[in-house]
Amino acid sequence: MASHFFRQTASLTSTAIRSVPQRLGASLVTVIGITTVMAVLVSMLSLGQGVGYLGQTGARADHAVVISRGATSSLQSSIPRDWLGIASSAPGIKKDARGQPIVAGGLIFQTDAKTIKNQRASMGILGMSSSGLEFWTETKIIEGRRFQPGLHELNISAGARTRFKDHGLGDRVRIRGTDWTIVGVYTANGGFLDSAAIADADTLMSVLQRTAYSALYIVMDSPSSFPALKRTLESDATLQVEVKTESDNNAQATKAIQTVLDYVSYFIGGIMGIGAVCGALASLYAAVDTRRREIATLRAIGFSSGPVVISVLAEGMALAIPSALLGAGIAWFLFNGHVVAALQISFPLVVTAASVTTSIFWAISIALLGGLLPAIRAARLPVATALRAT
Amino acid sequence: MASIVSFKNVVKRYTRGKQKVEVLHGIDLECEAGEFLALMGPSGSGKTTLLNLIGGLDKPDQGEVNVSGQRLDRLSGGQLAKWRARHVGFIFQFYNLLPVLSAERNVEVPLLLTNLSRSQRKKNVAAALEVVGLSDRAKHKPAELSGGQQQRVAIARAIVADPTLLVCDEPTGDLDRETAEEILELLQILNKQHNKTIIMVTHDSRAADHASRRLYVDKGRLTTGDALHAA
Repeated sequence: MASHFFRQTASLTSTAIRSVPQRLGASLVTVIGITTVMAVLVSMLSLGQGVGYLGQTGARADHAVVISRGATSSLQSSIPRDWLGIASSAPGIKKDARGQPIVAGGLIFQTDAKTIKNQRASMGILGMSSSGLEFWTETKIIEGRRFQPGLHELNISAGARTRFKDHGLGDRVRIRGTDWTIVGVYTANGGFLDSAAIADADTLMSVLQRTAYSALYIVMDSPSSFPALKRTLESDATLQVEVKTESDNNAQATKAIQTVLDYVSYFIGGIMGIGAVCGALASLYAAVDTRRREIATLRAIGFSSGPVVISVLAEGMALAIPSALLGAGIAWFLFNGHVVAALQISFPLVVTAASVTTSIFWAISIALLGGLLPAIRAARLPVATALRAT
Repeated sequence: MASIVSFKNVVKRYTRGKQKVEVLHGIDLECEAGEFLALMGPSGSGKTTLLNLIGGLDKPDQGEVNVSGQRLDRLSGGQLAKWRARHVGFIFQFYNLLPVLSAERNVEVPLLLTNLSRSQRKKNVAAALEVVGLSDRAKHKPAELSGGQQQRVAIARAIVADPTLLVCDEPTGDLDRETAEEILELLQILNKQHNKTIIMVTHDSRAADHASRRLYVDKGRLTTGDALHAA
């Protein structure tokens, strides 16, 4: 019995798909609709994926981040300056050449800036204490020199220099009434620092009249030191902190932005998807009407209605899956790897396998939703009437 | 000979808008195995409706329909589909072949509902095409065949699963006179040499001449015709 059902289904599906060229116009409605929706959806998702990628870029397994308890990431955290010394005595922290534990205080700050298109925007500045360069080893000066602690000097990323007006080497940037001179341009490894500037944390804190870092940044002996380090710091009654791996911290920092971007992507994709469902519906209704005689003949010969339903749905999917791949391919070709500046950061657009899988899932859903009613119509086709009408 | 088709007081109604229209009024019919029966009558008389009831494509609103020993009026849609697959071969006016399939693949379609192996299906298809004289056109698609050849393929499809009954709805209605004659002679061969019971709806009295008996349907009632040729 199962083999009968399979043979009927395979035969009906094969004839349905092979007859698609005879219904090219109607089928193209489905193909173009789904391709467009998936190209837009995957392009939009590449924003969120890009932000997520940015958060994970450069995160090292031997890096830990200490944030205040209750904060979700270093962006919302506040760590009093004197906790740096307490935290430095914890086990598993790597020592620098002078035998000092590598624990850097970091202050994250946003300052107003104008883009080269004269639009108002914000630029992130990371103030780092003396051990900072041991943590952020990926920053490489490509022009000028490093900032000097105690002086109002900045190093700016190559990305930020390109994005912001009057932010070149030697230019002055005003922060809370004080002029800071850009003395060097650096590149990082594609992470947050590639769209920001760096400065001495203590000098920045005095200008901002702050007494707390945003977070502490620790280089561990090895990734295996993390559990002991976490246990020690989180159980210390004098500290109210949480310890995360750099990867977790960055993921939390980008999660909110990614969530908003994904929400917008799915919202727009969903609206367009409804249109695509209607397109698939019209196209598959047309297919069923065109194949009315064919379906009625097969039903007369003895084919049952189940395989008829499956064949209509399969035709929809046969159109939808290649359309999804085509849409994702278009998005990949047009946008993958392009760097955009938005939400105060620069990040690459990334088309991932997950986005492509999502688009295929959406396309199949659109085909199933669009095909369901035509499939039911095909299955309920009154055979005698349909044969007479042809 | 035993009756292969037996109708007792069969009534069929269709719904048109809000009205129920009775198209067959208390039909009684007996058709013996091995007969070649022609059903004639004007358009709208109910002859195709009667043929659909015989072929299990439709169910009566009242009365008993017994075909090949099965009470069709008691079967569900799914059961009727299975019954049709085993017992009936259909031949339509416009051939109703699947345009994307070759002649041999079209003929194979009813065998997909059987337990036959691929090689056995191939043998049966070849035999059916041989009977209708189209072995050399097996690989051709319907669009590459003439109307007469397409109808021969449809006949091969109708007989390939060796049904007891062939149900033909205006099988020569779309053919020229000469080709129609060839098709009717082929049906006669199937009837006489292969012992197929054939029930054929036709407008054409010359087509009905090939049948062993003719009946007239007029305004939903069956009237007997003369017995024609002796089998």
